[in-house]
Amino acid sequence: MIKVGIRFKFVFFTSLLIATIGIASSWFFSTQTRNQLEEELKKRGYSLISQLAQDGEVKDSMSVAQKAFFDEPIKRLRNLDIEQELAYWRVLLVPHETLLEEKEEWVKTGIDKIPVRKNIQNITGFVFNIYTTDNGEAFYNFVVPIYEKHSIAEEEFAAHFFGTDEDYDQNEEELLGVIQIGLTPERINIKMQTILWTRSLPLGFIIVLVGIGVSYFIASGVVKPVKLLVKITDKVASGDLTQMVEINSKDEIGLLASQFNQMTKSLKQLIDEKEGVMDQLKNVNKELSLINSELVQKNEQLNDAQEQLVRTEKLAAVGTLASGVSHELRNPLSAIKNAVFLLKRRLSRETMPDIDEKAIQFLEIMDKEIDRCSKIINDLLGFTRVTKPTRLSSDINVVVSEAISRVEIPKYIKLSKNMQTNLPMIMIDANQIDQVLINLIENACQAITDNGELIISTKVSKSFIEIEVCDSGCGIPQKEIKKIFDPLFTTKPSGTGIGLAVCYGIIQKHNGIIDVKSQEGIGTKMFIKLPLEEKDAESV
Amino acid sequence: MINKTRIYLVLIIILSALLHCSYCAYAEKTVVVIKSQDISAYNKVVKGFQDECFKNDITIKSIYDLNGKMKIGQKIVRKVRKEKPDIILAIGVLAATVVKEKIDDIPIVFCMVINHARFQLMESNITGISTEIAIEDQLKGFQSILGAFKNLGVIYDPSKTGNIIANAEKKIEDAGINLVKYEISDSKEVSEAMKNLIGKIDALWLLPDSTVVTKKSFGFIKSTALENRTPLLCTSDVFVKAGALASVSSNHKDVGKQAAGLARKILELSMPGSLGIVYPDRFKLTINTKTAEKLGLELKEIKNGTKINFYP
Repeated sequence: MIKVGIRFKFVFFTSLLIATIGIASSWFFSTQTRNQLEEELKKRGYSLISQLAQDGEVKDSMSVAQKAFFDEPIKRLRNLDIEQELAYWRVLLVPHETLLEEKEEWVKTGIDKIPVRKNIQNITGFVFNIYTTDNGEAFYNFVVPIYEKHSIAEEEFAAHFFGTDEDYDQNEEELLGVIQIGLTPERINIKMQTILWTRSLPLGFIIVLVGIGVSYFIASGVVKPVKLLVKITDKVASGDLTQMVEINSKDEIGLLASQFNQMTKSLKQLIDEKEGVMDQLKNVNKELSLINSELVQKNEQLNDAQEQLVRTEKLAAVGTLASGVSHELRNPLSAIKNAVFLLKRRLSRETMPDIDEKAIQFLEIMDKEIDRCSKIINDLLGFTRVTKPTRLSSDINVVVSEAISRVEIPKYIKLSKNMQTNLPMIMIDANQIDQVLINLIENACQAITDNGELIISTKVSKSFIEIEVCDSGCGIPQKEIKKIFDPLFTTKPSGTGIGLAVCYGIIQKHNGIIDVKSQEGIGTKMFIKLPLEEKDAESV
Repeated sequence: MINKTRIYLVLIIILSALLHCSYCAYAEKTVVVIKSQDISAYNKVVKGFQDECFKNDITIKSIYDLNGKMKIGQKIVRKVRKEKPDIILAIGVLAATVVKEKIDDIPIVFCMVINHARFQLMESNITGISTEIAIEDQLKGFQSILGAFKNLGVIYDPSKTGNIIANAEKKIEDAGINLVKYEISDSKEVSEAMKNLIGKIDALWLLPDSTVVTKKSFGFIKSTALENRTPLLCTSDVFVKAGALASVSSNHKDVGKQAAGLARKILELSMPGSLGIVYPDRFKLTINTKTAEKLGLELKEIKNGTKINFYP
């Protein structure tokens, strides 16, 4: 669809209006001019025929019916016809006699074709009519009656006023006849044509051109600032609020521009304020995020600390309990052990060959279980008696190899060692670390039930020496993974829940970290990190 | 010798002069009468003038008739100049205007000029008798028939009788009568004027206005006035005879006599000149009794009055 601008619309409709007014005015003035010219022609006709009618010689000539006497009056009439519009003249006598009829040479219509007035006795005043002949010639026809007067009008009125006796018989006017003249309107047509081509059309053309020019100028005056406003509005809409409309006119457009500038200024202020608030909010948000992350970290730390604390407390409580219980059970168990030993000596085959085999088996079971109980008690005592490690510079690879050699690893387990060579010496209590590693390896071996793999590796990581015991066993359920270092927690049917808790205690006393990663059905990784530089355990 | 001759010569001259003066003092005064046309009204004026001149020893040298034509007037003026009259009586507007234009060294008395003010007949040698009767006298005459009336209508052409209306307006107002005017410029407007005035007026005053009063229009005015029982009041008894109710007008013979009297007065002056324009010293009230009857007017009270003519 074609986009039509306001300038085009304004210029088009204004020009259309001007053209319409121009045409209407031209038509009106042409009609007026024509009417005026026709009126003037009528006046000239009346004037000419009046002068002819008042010519005394005409009356005399009519009274004696002498055509030749009209030569001079007609000559005078033609002289008076300055515009040369007189076409014909005719003199009719009462009752109906044509005394004279002549026409100008240029008149195409024959004089006999020009109508003659009938019943001239009935004419009492001027008669005017327009007629067109068969060959298209038009004439303004004037007829006037000619009277022979006996006295002046005032005296006629005096006779009427004072009265007349029978001796007065000359008060009536006598009609001699009529004079008819015809004027051609041809000159009016020529004048109208001249006016049309020399004045109306050029003037109309100039008016239309000037109108278009003026309307274009006015439209430009209106449209230019509007376009500027639109352009600036676009820029403002696209976010450039620094744009200002520079229109200084005192009219409505100027007012609009001023209001627009004011609006843009206010908008800019608002947006600036908004951006300021947004920046502040962003900063606050950032600070809050920072605080939040700090809080999360702190929370984690607190959780860890709490867990450690809980674990430590648990260890302490369990240690105290175990110490008490072990101490109290140890002596009775020793007494039972001795009693069983003595009983076994007395009830042996050598002494009593017919002794029931079963009784011997029972005694064996009792002895075994007493050993087992002793072991548990020892473990518990060992747990409670984890002492401050005695640190010596040790090669961790040696410690690891020692631990592996002390554990009986089933054959269906493939053992892989991935130990970094040239590891730095580390200050540790080798016995305690060895105990930890044995515990971890035993656990791993117990987790692997069939054709599994056990990978033990060492490496230096930053300021730590890392020992990793990785098995492809059954893994630890996710919900239990956090509890494995808790004392008395075990997933094994015959476990005591002491081993990993002891390991945790030993590594903690070495200022190290022990951690686990496990996925059920895939395997478990146990990590031990021992610091290369010795620190006081209490300070950690 | 020479001295005696001179003395005789002087005595003869003185004697001749005295004789001439006495001849002059007792010489017969002559007058020439010029009438505009040959109508009975003018002839009556001539008759009255002749009678009075005879009494006053004024000889009428010639009586000319212009026959209503201006051209003849010039020839007659030439003849009058040859006759060298002491005074000229011009009867009618044509005669008055012709002599006014051509003669300024002989005293002129004019009369029978309708609405003379239109023709500016005021020169140092011109004396005249107005055709119109003083408006107060006209009103008195009309009121004697109609009694007091309030609204008097008048149709007039300002170019012809505007001066009469201008002069009469104040006097009519002073008489307690409201003048209802209607201006026309063509006799064709008379019927419209009558339609407008009828019903608003108690009487219609017909002025000597040739636009208003024509042979055709008078019949219409008369019949319309009568149909609407509006009295028609005129300034000529001719219209009363034709059917109008009343007129206040001069007697033509009396006008002739008055003109002769003015002529005598002028000739008696040491330097004959103008006595101005005077109203007729005698006038008559003419009433159409038939019309009065139709209008239902009682005329008993005024029937015994003098100077009242009744028609028919």
